[in-house]
Amino acid sequence: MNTVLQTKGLCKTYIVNKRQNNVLKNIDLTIFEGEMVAIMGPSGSGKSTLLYCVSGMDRVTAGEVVFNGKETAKLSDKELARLRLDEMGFIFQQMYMMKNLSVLDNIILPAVKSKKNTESRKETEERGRKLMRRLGIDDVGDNDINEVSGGQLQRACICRSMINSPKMIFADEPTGALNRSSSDEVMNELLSLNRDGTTIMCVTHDPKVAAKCSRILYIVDGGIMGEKEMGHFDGGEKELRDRERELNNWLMEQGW
Amino acid sequence: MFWRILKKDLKRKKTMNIILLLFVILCSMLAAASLNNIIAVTGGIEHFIEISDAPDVMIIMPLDQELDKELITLPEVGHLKVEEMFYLTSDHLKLNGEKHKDLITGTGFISGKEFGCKYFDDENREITGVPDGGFYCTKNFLQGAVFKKGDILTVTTDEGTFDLRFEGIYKTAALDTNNSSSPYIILNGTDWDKMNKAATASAFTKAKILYVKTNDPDAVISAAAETEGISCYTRDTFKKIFMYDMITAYILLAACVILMAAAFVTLRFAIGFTISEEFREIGVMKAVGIQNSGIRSIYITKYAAISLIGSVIGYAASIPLSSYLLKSVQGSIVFNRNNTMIGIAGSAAVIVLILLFSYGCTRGINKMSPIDAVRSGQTGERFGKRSVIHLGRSKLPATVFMALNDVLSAPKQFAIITVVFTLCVLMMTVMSNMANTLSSDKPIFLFGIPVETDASILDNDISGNDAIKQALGEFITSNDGWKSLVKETEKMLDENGMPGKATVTMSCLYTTVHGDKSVGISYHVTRNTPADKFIYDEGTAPRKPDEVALTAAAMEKLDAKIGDRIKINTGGKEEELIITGTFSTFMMGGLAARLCEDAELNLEKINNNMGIQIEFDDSPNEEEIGRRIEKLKDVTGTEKIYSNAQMVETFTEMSGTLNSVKQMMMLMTVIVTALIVILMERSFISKEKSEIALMKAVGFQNGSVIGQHTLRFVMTAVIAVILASVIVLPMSKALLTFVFAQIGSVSSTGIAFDAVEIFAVCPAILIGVTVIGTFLTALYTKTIKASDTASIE
Repeated sequence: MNTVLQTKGLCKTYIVNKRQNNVLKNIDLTIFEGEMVAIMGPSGSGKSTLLYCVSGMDRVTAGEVVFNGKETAKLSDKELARLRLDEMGFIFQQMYMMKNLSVLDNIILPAVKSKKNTESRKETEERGRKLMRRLGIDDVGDNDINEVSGGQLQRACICRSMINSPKMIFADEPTGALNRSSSDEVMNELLSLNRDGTTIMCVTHDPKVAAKCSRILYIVDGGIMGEKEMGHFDGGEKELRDRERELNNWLMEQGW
Repeated sequence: MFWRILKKDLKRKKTMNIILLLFVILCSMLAAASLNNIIAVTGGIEHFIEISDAPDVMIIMPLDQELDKELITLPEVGHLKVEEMFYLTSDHLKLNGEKHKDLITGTGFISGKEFGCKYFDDENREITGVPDGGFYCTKNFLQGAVFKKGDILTVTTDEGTFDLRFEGIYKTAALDTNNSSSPYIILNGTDWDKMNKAATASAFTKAKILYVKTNDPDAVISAAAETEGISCYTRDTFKKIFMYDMITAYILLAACVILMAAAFVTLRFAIGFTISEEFREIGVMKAVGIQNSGIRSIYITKYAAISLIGSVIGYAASIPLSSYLLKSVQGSIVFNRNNTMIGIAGSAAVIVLILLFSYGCTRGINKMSPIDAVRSGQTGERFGKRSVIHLGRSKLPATVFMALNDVLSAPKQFAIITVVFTLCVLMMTVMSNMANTLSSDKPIFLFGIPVETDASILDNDISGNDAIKQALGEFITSNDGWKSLVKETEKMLDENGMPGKATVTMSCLYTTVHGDKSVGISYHVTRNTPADKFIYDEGTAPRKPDEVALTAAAMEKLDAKIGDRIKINTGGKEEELIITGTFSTFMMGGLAARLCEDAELNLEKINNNMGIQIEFDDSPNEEEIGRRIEKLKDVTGTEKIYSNAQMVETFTEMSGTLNSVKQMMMLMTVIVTALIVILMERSFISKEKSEIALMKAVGFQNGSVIGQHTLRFVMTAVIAVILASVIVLPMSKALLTFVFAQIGSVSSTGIAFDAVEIFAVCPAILIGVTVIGTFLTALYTKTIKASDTASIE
């Protein structure tokens, strides 16, 4: 399997009130193409920071992050922005969207911005609608963002993250602000994308969400304390319950 | 508890609070300076007359008359001071060895033995005496000549030459110091005595100025009426002297008020902005049970604290600003600039207004439920109509689309900015049009001369042509005297290869009666051209000797209308005239009438003549007129030949001042626009922090974000420039007509404008300041990181 993302000795330190706070400590990590990796850990353990550091949204203090063969620390802000635009997708816990744009316009915005995209504006819009259809929100494309439910909005965020066919999607608590049924719908969409070959890295607190991932990384105090291979989830209810049980047991061993 | 919340808020929302503080300082500074100037300007003349200890009646009379001795015996006269004076023409004067060629009128040399009233220097300090060998002059003496303190004025008389050192200009509340009037020089008493003796033959008039303090000016004027060759002035007439200065001051005032209004509009906007940002906090407070009044009091207390601090700083900053603004319009007047209480009141008004604004803005809090507020705070939802344009259907690049979409999605916000920008452009362009019009030939018709005039000779001493010189001396002695003057002038024009028509205009002051109304009106007659060559607002030109056109002001005073008959007393003889039309003029403060070209005048009552007007036969262009004027100067031996534009500029004197006011307002506008742009953009960045972070997270580069922010302000500025371009000409016309109506009786006027300046330079300044201001402020967005998406409140 090809490596999509690799870190070596990744460190991130914040200085707060003249005190050094080492949020990430020497993290070595490899993510392969097609994987769906969940990052778990207690609050404040550094899960989100890890996600932002490896996705180039934040600069690392020390160490190396190689994404798709490019060492992100050596890239300029411009190159990093281009990398995020063309090769990465992002989903956040809050359904952040541009409030002045309709749902569809929010989705196609990265594609319109991308220089890689040679389609006409109409074709891009059509592609955006297609993605929305796939995620079952094609009827809210022209709506304002405050006219749709949280679940619909999060699915729109997934569409936006997918619009430039990224190599990898980074999701920070993608179901954190959703109810159980919306959460299941969103996770199923992510699983579906993963099955289609998109690599996903997902920060979550929720064992039900993590149980659908192929690998779990458990972080405590800025270091990876455990790692569990779960294998790809095929989608059956029974399998999910088994995986959840297995994961919960493992998490208890980790001190969850 | 509330105090702690407030303290935390002030610390945590430092940027927005600093922005608000800066706006408050700006508003307070402009409000205090403007109010100070309003008081200084509106009460300006009264104040100047009071501090000058000006007389209730001033009489200028021949030196050999002894009216002063009679007046002092009157019981109504409380106090009487006398200044002695002799007049010299400019032929006797040299500035630093050069002939003083721009001076049209004779100059009065006043003895400084005893000052008739208080005089002030250009720094507004009272002049208590004139040093030996020195002199002070009124500002119209210089006529634009470069003459510094310490420079030498050489006065040549028949019996000697005197060198006088220039001590500076002086301001007087009683003497007319407009460019078209005689200037006055005050000398040390000893120097004056020497010169007066030597100037016996050279001086064309010797006179006395009586300064009378009385509680009954009418009684004094009646007592003086019998004396021949006197001119009486009261405090009311003094006020008219400063009309041009006051108009410029009022224009400045209006500009200040516009700037202040722009700042207030933006402040109101900024307060609304900061409160709308705090829905989350408001929701949380509501959720925990704090009452609406409690929540509102927190914000009102916060704004009270900010406005208090800002107003104090703003008031301090207004003091030098107020002085700077008034400096350009105090050439003749000493304004009262120490209105401390007014400035403080202005700043206090800012505090009250801010509290009212914040009270109004916080009213929306009442309508919100805790859930609404909390949701709003978290998701940044908006409740207005969504944008009307769609990215998918647009061909615009993403950055341009986003900028345009932002403008269209927040129409109220951007409309306010557009209005502010429009006001800023109009400030510059209207001022430019006013200055240009007052140095153009557009208002020439208001000076009572034919509009076709190309040049005017305003000198009685035509040394280069004896025939014209002689005709000039005689033309006001008989009603046919003008014929030889016109003939000789046209002959001279022919001989010099510039054939043309000469006209002369003169006026007499007659008492005019209609019903029970009686008014002194100046009757104008222009010889050698029909009266219908002039512009009439209503009705027709007078075509027969018993017809007359009046100004609207004169008609109003007489309570007459077109078709009515009025009676005039032309000196022992009563005539009846029928009103045929109305016209506009500056002459006699608008109390004027026009008779047909053949009408006879009582030449003993002549109060004015406008020299000789020339209309070239071949309608030359401006450049050619300029060349011909230079040639005429050589031929006639006088420098006092003017084009229409030069005449307007010389007579109104407003163009130069307005130009400096324009430059000052341009500077002020640039500063205010820059401040507004910077503060507004900084507010936008604060409000849109999460969106900026999101854009970066999905791959927008810094340049795109900065471009979007800059572009939306540029779009607003462009719309403002278009709006301003559409309304600048009608607005300038309306304002100029209003201004001219204060000088005379004017119902309409043409305007002159510099198209490059008003349609290119001024808009470019606004757009340039907007681009630079927004771009530099938008650089701050670089500090917002993509990872901030998740950590933004």
